[in-house]
Amino acid sequence: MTTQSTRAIRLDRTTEAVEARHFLILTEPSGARRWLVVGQAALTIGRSEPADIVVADDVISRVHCRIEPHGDSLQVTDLGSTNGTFVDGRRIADPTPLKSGTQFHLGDRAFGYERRLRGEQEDAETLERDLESASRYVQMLLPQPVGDGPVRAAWHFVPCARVGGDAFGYGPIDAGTWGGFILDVTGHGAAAALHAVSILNLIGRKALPGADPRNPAAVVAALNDMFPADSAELPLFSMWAFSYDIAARRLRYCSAGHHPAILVAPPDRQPKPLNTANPLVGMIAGRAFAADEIVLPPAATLYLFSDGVFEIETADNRQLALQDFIPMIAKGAGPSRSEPQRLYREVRALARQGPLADDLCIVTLEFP
Amino acid sequence: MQYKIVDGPAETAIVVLDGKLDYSAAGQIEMPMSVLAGSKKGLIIDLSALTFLASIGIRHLVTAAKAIQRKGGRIVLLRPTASIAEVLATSGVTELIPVVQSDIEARTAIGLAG
Repeated sequence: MTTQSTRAIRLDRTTEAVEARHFLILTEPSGARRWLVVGQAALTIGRSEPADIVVADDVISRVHCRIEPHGDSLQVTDLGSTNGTFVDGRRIADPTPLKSGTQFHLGDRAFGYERRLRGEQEDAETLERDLESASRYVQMLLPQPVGDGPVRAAWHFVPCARVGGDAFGYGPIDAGTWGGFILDVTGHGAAAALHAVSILNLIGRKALPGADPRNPAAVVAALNDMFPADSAELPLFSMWAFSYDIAARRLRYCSAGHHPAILVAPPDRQPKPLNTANPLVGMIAGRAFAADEIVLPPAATLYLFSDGVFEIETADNRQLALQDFIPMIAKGAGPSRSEPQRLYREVRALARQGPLADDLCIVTLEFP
Repeated sequence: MQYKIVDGPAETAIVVLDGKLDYSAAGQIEMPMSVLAGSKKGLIIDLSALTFLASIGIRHLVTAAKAIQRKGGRIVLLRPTASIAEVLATSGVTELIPVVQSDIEARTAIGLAG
């Protein structure tokens, strides 16, 4: 597109009615988003009629709150709801103005507010559809949970911005070996997701030159050679990779710039951190990567997770760290397909209202 | 997060980071860091008041370090807290950028007389 035609389009936009509209954005359980126009009249939001905007969710009271124009913006008033109305993570008592681009919550149900020119809103909806499509593509690349066999796997993945820089994979390498990894590209959103997907596809197709997939250090070193992070546009990522010799029960692992994975096993289920001292992938050209290995006891479970799981801010403004997440793992009752979801719910309950600050990914691997 | 840039002698500068370097703060410092990496021979990044370092912040440090080192310049990280030091160690940034604990060590590391 030439500069002249771009300028022409901008002039067209300014000669349209410079009409800013208020939009409430509702996210459905499916992840799809609905944009609702708020006009000059006040609207109520509630679980059922007579509310003007009906959102069938038990956390929302029958008539929960009122939204109305207030100057250039909108204002929200709680109408004595059971679970409260929250702006900036704080439960409101009085009519409270909303800022465009932010969210407010009815209980734990998030609503977005955007003040947009008409054309901007259409562009935003197009982008929304594109992100939704990209998000579905990424989900297709992720492996299915595994409920049976020498390694059982489950996972929970929540990108903080529809798509994100976390990715993972696992599966049989050959008849006697399993392998897997988790990786986290610095940043999040579309750019990080593009990098994550290209790395995921390379590993999945076993397209790393000279790297035996049974040797996690060689896999990481090959990726380090292929992805030198020499400029801001190129990915820099952390990784935790492993191979597992089924007969010998030997786990070989290599972590690069990544916090430890956690191993628990009966009888004491004492969390054991596993990692190796290597830098982020892409940071140091030609670096050799160290690996380590451990023989797994029966009924061991390995937890791989991204730092978005523990780098969260709580409702009372505390910044959590890895040491706060490890006890949540220890509380688990034993191998279970729903472990990732249990951990996610615990983290979500602690975190302040609103989207999580980073992509969240939890993978559990059980070795019966 | 707040940040302050103080120019020093011989094309050096100190960047003081204060607060949480999360995703939105990283957006604020990306351009200033890029400009400094392109124009300075020595950079001291004072981390003594930094309370949180997201991976995107590490990304910007690495990008700046590679740019300045490619031109023969030097960069050093000064006095991180214990929790930030742990993040730096886990990420391996310390293999690319030295970490020092005192102002004199920082000045020496970037080629200034103590």
